[in-house]
Amino acid sequence: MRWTFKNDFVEPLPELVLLLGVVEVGSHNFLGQGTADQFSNLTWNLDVLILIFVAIAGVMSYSLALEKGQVVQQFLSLRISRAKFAALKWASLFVIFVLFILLLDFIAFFLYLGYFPTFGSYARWADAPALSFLIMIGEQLVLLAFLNSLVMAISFGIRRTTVSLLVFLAFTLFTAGYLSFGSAIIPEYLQLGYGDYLIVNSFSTYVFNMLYRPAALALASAPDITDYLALAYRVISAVVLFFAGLALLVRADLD
Amino acid sequence: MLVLFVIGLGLVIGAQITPGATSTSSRPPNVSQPDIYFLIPTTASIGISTLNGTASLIVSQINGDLTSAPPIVNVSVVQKDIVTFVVPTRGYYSVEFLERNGIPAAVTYSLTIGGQPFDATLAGAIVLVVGLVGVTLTAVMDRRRSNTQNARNDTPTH
Repeated sequence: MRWTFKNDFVEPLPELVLLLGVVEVGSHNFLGQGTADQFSNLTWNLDVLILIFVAIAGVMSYSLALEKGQVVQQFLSLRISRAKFAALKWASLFVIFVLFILLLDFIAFFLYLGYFPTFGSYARWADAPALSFLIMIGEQLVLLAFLNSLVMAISFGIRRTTVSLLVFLAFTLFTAGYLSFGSAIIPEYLQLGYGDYLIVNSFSTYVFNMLYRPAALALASAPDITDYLALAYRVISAVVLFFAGLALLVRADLD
Repeated sequence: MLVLFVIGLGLVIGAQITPGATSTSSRPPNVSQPDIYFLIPTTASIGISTLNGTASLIVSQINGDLTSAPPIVNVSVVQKDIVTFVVPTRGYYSVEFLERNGIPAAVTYSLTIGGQPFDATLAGAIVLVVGLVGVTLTAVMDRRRSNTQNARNDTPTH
């Protein structure tokens, strides 16, 4: 992981993205809204920043490293198979992305909650922000796995840095809620950002009701099929693209 | 240390560009549940549009165990009054209007809160300074280490 961070992350990209992320997280005044809404919206608010960060870092780690011959050098020097190398690379990038987003999440946690919750009175909280926060983190893990697998598959498939970057950005930004909201082509629940908001919002409401409210009310607030589809799209795509990326690297002619 | 510096800078900038916000509420009489708001520490004001007679405006912070802290605002108001106060800390606050007999009054009011929260600005400034000191110390130590290494390399060996 340290190797990946030192070699594939060009300074000052991580610092710049972190700065913009903290400014975005810290510049909200949410009078009249519950803090649970803020946590449901957080991934959506950070969406474009996450996409650009994953695009640049991912393409540099997979595609540029492949072009420069660093990938071959690495798995030969480590004496591991191509598949194992790609899996390790994917895992180290995933951990870096998660650490980065967790840092922003915890800054948001302190700013949006104001004080630490007293869990004895938790059931009476109107908006259950801590539960929404935990579900948001789980959803972000799925989103980052999906984006990481996508950039790996594109990079190992195209194997040209600039083209890979453009294809990844074109696909992700086109399917992001900011740009395609209301589009007839892409359903809202599949859009990046807005789909993430729907998942966190519906599942946190449902889990809160299941824990603290009568069963009939909890059932009435069960997530729609579209919420499950949005989640399944991210999970299944992450797995399929991960194995596609592995297969592309294993079969690639690297001479 | 550079991460601390960046986080501090981000918090300060974020706090400075935090916009103000306004929320309007129209409350029927005898509703015992007060309005709850999440307020950031800055200057806030409550403007009363409609109110019959006189009422006590009470603003209290809600503690973590859902008990009410002593009120930060407890004044008598009439229609068209504007009450300005400073929010001491970030958190949930209740706003209620009570008639003389303690019954909640029918009222329409607007709560306006400014931007630039004090706490995020202060916390950001502290983190920024700690990060800056750390970055500077690290750079100085690296330079000293480098100078020592160069001096050792330049020393002739016999």
